[in-house]
Amino acid sequence: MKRLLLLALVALAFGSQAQQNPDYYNKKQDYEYRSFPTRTMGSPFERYTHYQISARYGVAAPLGSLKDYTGGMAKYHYNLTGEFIYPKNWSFGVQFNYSYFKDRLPRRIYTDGTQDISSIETHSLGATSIHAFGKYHFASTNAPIRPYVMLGLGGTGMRNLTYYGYLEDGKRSFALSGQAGVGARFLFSKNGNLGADVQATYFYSPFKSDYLSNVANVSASAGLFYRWW
Amino acid sequence: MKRISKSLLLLIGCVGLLAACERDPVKDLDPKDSQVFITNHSTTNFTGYKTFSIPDSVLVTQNDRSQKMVRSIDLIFIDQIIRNMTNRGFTRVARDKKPDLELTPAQITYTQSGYVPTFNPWYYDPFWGYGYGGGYGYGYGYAPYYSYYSYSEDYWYIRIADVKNIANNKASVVWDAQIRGDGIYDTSSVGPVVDAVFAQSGYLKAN
Repeated sequence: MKRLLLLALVALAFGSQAQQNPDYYNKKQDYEYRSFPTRTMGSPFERYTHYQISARYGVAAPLGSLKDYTGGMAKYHYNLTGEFIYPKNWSFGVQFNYSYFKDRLPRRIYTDGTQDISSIETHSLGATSIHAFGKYHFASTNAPIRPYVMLGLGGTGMRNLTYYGYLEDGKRSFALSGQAGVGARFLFSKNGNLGADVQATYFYSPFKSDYLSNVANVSASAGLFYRWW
Repeated sequence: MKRISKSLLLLIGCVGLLAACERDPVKDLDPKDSQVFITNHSTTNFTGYKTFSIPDSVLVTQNDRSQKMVRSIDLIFIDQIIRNMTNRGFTRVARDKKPDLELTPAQITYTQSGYVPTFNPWYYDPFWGYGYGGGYGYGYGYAPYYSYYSYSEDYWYIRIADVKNIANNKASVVWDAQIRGDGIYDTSSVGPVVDAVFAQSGYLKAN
């Protein structure tokens, strides 16, 4: 009986204490180190290397010989990125870009010596590139807006096809390429996993074919990213 | 480690996705726009010729077989050539009336397909390895790879030979034209495609 009474008293004291300080009991603790004073610690994104994938879609404007060849903007431009983000300012990863430029010329006659060819010419370049890149970020990993500069180097599968009607004259080959860019990512919520990413890059490859002396373009793309640790 | 391999898988998946999204540049090409007209001509002055002859049938060549055919499409084809030649000031005469030019209307179909062996480093070729392993039953397993290829061409062809100046029993070709692409065998488009090859050959006139 005495013991029961004692237990009831303890329970009452505990209950009232819990009622007076609801935060202490209801608020979510850091799930890693419960026995550790965690409240002053930063988010895991600020403490550990974490992962991020992003997908962007956008526009690309050709430059130089590519502009002469395909005219205006790219018909498709998108890229996918996977990267490791370090707690400080750096991140490293791989980026896939796909840019597709196409132009169709009106029917005209090409004269070569005693030969005349009348056809509709279709110019196209599909560039699938894989770049290993490094990024330097200008704000903390959990900042709502985090601008960055990037530099990537790698290779591109070039598919440079010129058609006269359906007659194909093409070159498919692999070429070195690189890109330099600036961008920023925007977190949708504080310490969240999801956000938006915008990027502007300059792409260059010393690819040569009968129609192109190099491939260069500037692009702008926007998309979403997801990060986890 | 588990996480890294997951990311790797994701990236590999992305490569596949990108490769699958490769575009076909001429998928949206209108059949009419796919037509290509190729003409070759000699530097001869065509005003030196006045008459021409043309057969009543089209020479249809399929690979190494050829035959003369008179389908309705062939008649339209020949008719349109005659109309164009006449408009350019040439006069059609019979073959035995000693024409200056002889025309050959033709349809050329050429198809070649087959299998070619491609190099397989794992394949043991008994021909080159005579005396080794013969009769021991090691022949199964690594066959050479074969790839299939197919190549085909199908086009209208018009040839003009100079039969006025025959040297050593040989007539020289002074003009030829190829009409390629989709829809060239449609009854309604034979006329326009024949007109097109003549339109790009302004030098082809009798006066």
